[in-house]
Amino acid sequence: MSDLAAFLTPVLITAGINSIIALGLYITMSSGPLSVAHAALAGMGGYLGAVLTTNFGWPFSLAILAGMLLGFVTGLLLGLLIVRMNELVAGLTTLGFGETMAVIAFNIDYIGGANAFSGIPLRTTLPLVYAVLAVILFVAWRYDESRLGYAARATRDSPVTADAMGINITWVKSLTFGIGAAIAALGGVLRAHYILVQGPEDMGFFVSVGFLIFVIFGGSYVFWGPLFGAMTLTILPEVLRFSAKDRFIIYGVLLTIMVILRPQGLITRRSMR
Amino acid sequence: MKRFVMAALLLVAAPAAAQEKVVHFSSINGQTGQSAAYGSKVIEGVNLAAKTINDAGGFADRCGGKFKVKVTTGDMANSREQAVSLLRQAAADATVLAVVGPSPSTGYVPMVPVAGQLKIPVIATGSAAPIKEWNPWSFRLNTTSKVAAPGMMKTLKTKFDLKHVALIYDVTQDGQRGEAELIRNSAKEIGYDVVAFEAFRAGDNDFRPQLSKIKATKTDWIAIYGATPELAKVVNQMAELGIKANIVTGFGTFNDPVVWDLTEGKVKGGYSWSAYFALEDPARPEIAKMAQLYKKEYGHDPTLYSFYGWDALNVYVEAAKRACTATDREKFRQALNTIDNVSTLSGKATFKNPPDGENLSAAVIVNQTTGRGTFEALK
Repeated sequence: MSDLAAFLTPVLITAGINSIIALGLYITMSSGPLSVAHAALAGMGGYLGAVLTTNFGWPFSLAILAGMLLGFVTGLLLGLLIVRMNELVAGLTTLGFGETMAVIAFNIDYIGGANAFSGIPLRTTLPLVYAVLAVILFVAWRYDESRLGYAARATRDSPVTADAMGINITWVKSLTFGIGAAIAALGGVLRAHYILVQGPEDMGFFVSVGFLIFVIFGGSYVFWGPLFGAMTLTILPEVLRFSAKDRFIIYGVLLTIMVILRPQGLITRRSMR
Repeated sequence: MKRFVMAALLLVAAPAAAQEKVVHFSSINGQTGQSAAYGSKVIEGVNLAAKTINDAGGFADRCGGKFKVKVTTGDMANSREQAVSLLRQAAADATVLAVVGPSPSTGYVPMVPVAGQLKIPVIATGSAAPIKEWNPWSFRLNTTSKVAAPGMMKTLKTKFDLKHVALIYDVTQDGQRGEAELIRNSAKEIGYDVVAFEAFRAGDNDFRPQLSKIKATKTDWIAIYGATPELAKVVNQMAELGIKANIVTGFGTFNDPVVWDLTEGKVKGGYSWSAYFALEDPARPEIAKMAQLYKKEYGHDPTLYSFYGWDALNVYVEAAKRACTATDREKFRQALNTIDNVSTLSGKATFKNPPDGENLSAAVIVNQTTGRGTFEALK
């Protein structure tokens, strides 16, 4: 393998997985909720998928489906829980949920506790990640143009007007939360089968904030935004490795400048026209 | 004709000589993020060791080859993903012979299965977390309780002819329980009896039932394994019940000033173990020499982690000398397994993997607590 390929392959796999999880967060946020639980949802998918392939010998595809189902059901219930809360309280609730899941994972010996769950077989490859990413992009594209997508955006922009127009806000918010969580859990299963270790740290607040930054940086109003944000912000620190000690300073400065110049995110619906 | 033959010989010989001139190691550690305080010191130790070897003209292997050392540093930023990505990148680079692995367990634990899968040697430089499943490609230079706890008991046996030990431990903490089990399981080999093995749970307040059973054994040695709050309560309740026995615990716990305060100094005279570290040791002038070089290079004193970095690179160079290769990872791995009691700044190194990659001769210092945060090493 050439040096360039050796450098790029792990970076692109990580960027692809981050993009998948960020797209899940994008769908959840499209109806309004600010979620800081998506790292936990991805982690839950990762744990379940890893346990099923490692301890029970399930095929990887079935483990992915099981992880997605767990993510969907959990997201749906979490969406139902926060539907009537204001944005701040809903955000804090998702934060509490994420931290609780991490603490639970810390205390379950069966999944490795604080020492993480290891021994996971390698199943995630570069072609697989990008095939899955292509499918998720297609889903996000169709979702954006679907009745549910329009209803979600209407709910986000003005819940009162959307309600008056006959949109079932409860259903839209919880369904989009569920779909977004399922996609995040899918990303979590892929990540666990690439890193080969799934630990409670992967579910924490700062990891969730990382996904949130991908979406906000790229733009949360069109599906290209989270893709661009996750790709750029995953690859950028790797490209900046020539300046080992300063790379996160450069990264932080660039991020701050971009947010000041483009608070709506780099890619908006208008810029896509 | 003569010139032609000479030129042809040079053409044939030159690439072969050029190919094996450099031994390339990858050094992956936390240069930024929460673990930078340790990781950056390991990196400094690794780089200084490489510089020192290269400044001396490189090294010669046992087959007569001359090599210089090249180190490529990667910052894992306390992230599993980055640690694994960097390891994969190193493994894909055919010139990299082995990886000096991280001090944070966040990086080393996920690297272990990947190293086995990619068949590239990795050596930990400070990670102490238990490894669920070792493979022949993963090693650990630093001391862990697996080696240290039985080592401490051997020292106590030799010095005090310890015969009976009672154990009281926190069953809910993996590390505490693990070390207590190690002491129980080493009893037969070292030559003492475990007269009680009493468990408690984190958050418990009353240890009198367990301590009463221990008192009935009339043992003169009690090993206590628990986090600071519970450990302090056990020590205080021992005094209340009139139990007068020598006390033993794990990694330097009795030397913690908080433990001293919570027990009002009752831990005085207690024994615990720690890793070997000294900036000056009259018996080992190489330590002061390295410390001087280090201070000159970086403007500050080395830490234990700097020693781990220095030692890891030197152990790797010793293995490369024995393996006579700059690229064959399998030969290098086999050579690492011949490292037996090789002297290092942080003690000694011995590897016999399988069954595991732990350093079997990692230096363990048995300390006796003498005051608040002060202790003496047992001679």
